[in-house]
Amino acid sequence: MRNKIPATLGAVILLTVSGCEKDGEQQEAAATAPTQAAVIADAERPARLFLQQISSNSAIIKWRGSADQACIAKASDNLSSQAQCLPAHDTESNHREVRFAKLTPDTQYHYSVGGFTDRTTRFHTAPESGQLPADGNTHIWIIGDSGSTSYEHPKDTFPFAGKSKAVMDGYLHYNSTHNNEPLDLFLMLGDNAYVDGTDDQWQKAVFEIYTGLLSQAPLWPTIGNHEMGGVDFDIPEQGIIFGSGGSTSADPNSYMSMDNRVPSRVPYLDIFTLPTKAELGGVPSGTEQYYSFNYGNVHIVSLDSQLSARDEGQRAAMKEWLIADLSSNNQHWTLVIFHHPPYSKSSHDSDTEPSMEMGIDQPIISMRQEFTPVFEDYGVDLVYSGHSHAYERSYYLNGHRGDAITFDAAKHAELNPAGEPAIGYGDEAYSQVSVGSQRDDKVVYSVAGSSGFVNLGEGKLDHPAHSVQKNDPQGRHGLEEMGSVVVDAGATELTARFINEKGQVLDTVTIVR
Amino acid sequence: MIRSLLSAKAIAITWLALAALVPLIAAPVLAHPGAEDQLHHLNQQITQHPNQQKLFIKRGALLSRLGQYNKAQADFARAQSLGTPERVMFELGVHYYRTQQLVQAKSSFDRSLQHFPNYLPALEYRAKVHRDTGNYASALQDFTAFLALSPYSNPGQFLSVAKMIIQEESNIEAALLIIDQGMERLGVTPQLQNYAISLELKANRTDAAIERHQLLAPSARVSPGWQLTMARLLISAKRSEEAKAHIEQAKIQLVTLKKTPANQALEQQIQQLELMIAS
Repeated sequence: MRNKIPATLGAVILLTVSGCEKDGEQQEAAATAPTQAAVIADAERPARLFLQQISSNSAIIKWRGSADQACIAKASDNLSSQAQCLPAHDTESNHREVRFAKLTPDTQYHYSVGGFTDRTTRFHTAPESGQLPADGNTHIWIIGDSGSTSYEHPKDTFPFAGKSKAVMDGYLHYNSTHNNEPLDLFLMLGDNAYVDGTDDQWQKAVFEIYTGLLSQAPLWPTIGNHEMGGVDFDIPEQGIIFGSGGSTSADPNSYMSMDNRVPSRVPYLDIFTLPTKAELGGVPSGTEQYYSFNYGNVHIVSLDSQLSARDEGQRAAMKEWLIADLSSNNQHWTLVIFHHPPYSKSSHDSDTEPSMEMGIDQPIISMRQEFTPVFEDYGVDLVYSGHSHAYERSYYLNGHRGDAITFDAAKHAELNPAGEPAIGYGDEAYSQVSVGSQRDDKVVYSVAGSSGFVNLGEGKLDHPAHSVQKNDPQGRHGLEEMGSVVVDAGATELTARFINEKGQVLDTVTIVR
Repeated sequence: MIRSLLSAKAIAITWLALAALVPLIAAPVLAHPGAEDQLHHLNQQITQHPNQQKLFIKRGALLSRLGQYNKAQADFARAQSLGTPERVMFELGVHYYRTQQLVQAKSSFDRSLQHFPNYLPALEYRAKVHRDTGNYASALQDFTAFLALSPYSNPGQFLSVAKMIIQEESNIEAALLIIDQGMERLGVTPQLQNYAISLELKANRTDAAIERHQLLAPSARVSPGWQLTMARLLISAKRSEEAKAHIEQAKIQLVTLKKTPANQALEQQIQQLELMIAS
């Protein structure tokens, strides 16, 4: 049986990090005198420890710290005496990593790094491509714009301090009361380290918040505008002003933060080890900025709406790759993530005029006009974005490329028998092969940018392509709530749920095949 | 200066940035805390170490970014007098480029690169100067060198340079060279190889296009789309029997795949290709 995620994970992590207490498992391991230094008593958890590219037969363990090797063993084997140990190799910005190969599919492993191990240092390999996990379900957690923990603010002036962790606790609480499903994939929708995506901000907002999850499930990110730091704006009569999240450059080497204006490579690309050569399925992208992979019967694509989308040539190249990738995809379910939402009326407005006025939001238009046709033609089921700081989830859409005012439910959405847009759950769950068109040509688009704070700006949550939310007190097309998304993909049914910080399910959408 | 010591005003700016950037720019209380801090810090350091060249370079660069061009120029001049002038040339070149003094910018980047030939930012900037002054041959040379040496690049950058070559001088061989350089570096990707195939066809080299398409097979997982493109290329090369085999494979694959608009379009393509073979 696969390991469960401890509901009290946060507390466990704190104890482990501080080295104040060991659980029974650790004490036993220390007592067996490891022969390969796979486990060392009192070894400290690395400053950051996370998993990358877990496939059916390989895994990358990555960390920062002095540990110079990692060891791995099947959960059924003894980590002290039966482990396979490999030396680490250094990667950018003082990270170290080890890639283990020839692992067994759909199998639980535990591991140590520099002799450190605890109850969170374990993971499950993916099932063979196209197969379901043994428990029958691929369990995915998605957070967007979660980086508020690293936002430094004068005391008591920021109402969202600690909320990223609250959102995680909400998910863990939900999970503990719903089969305690082990986490297979952890997706981030961008803006996960405010305000400039510096390495230090990544540490505070990600590695020190989701510590236990990151050492158990692979993290798959996408680039948000705040990952690219900011730029100096020259404002008449005001002078030069640094605007965090305001970069409109397509060059990952043009990154600047408020504290360092010398252009350099974006920290995001130094932190993660992402597939460029279709190491986990999909088609080689040749860049870590956008990539794809398979996990069992799910295909996931991470697009780059922040950098590549801003340059016509690079955008065309990304689209060409996407078409090639989706053309060769035959998994049951396909999920796409990128930062800038094609449809939103929240803190960002996806209509053409406000997007173009905003400058930084040009990718919203590009992604809607140039990429949504590809999603709909090539069998994508779900698209998740962030950027707007609320929750919005569309009807089952096809062909809506214009501003909100041009949305015509009869033309652009799956309809129920009454001729209204089908809501996506209960009797009106969506069918992968659309009831209306009799082909797989519709997509659910969702904005989940409230995993760190919620903010509507001037938005009114009134985009008509988004479903009216029954749990919104004002009956709007969205939820002014903090939370995250859980996707469960089985053999014949995929369900996505928006979970608030109390662990309550506020929205559900189901697609059947 | 650590972030927690930033002024409340600075904090307000970053918070607004989280919400939206338009209010950030329009807000009347805005200041420039990051640069002010930096400038203050550099001023202090220069007071303590008035003969350190690198401090003047740093301050000159900062002042240039802030639009205080005369002060920046003065700092660069002072920096040149305090040590090896070539160490100043990159930031001075950026300053000239920013102020659209392209002749001086090129001269500065030339001097910088003579002294530090592998300094990539200077190479990229000089390529931009060449491009902006219409000197495409030199722009191409610098962009190519930049792509070859840059530790990080993506397929779109190679593709953009290749397309610039075609647009400016219709030089298929030079464009293919760039594409192949990209694939040597990043691996065979559809973005690059598909463009290379289109160029081979433009040069009437169908066999070369077929060879290139074959190289996409492992990554394309031999999808029905790949099969039909191969069939089309083979028909162009008058190898109809081989083309038929690929069409049959595509048909078999499509039976098991989702009924997407893309796959339905492939079914129509099959009919067209079969008609082409029959005729």
